Amino acid sequence: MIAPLMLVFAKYPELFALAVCQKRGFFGLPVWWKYLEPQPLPPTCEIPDFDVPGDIWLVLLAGIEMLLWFGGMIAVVMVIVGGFRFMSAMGNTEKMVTARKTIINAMLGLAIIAVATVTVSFIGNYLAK
Amino acid sequence: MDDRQARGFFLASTCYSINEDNASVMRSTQKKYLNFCLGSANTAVIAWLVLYPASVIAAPLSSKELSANPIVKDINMVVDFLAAGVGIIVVSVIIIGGIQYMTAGDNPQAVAAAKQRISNGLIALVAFIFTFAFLQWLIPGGVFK
Repeated sequence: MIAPLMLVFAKYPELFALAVCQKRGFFGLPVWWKYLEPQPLPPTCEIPDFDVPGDIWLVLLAGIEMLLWFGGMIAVVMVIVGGFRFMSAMGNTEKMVTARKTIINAMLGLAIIAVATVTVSFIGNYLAK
Repeated sequence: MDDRQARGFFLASTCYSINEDNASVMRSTQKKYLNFCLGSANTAVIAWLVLYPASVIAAPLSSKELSANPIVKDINMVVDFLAAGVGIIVVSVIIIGGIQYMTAGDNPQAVAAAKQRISNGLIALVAFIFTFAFLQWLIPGGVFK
């Protein structure tokens, strides 16, 4: 199963780079070197060179993307938690209010994250023009 | 004591005298006011220490010569580098605040902490915008290209 694949990769190293050097890691989590300049051809799977201090902001940009990833995951988890609280409220008004607040806060946090990211990237693009 | 130090001590002493007048009025505001005064006096002293030599260097130069000056070049490099990071840092602070907001659940204290973090990030952004405007006004030819 693996052997023919390895033969193909040996013949076309670009394909190997495409298949293995994904810019996404575990479960869609972006890697920290995502925005660094890639190595020149032939493609390898090494992490690109890192200049200090020129590339610090590029690494932090990837960090922001990781934070966005975490934010989305946490929003989903908190909405599920709120749903469970709603289900287990059993008509108890206080518990229902708690559950509703949990869900609303999760959605508000997601909205804050989205608005902040979109606004700042819009302003950045506008200024960079 | 030279001219600059004298100016710094003068600024600090005016702050202290204002503070003494205020101390009798309200005790809780006293500490805040003292901190503000100390902060502003320190800022004035530092600004004087930085800007006075800068003005001495820059005074006889035209705008074109200024950009060729090695000291001004180094200052521009540092300022450009730090200005590039402001957006990134503010966004990451707001995102962390948003995550805090989400995980707060129904706890009002945690929600307040998250709001505090987000507003601090926005205050930092506003402070940077004002600093930007001030530097553009202050330095002939502008710091930012």
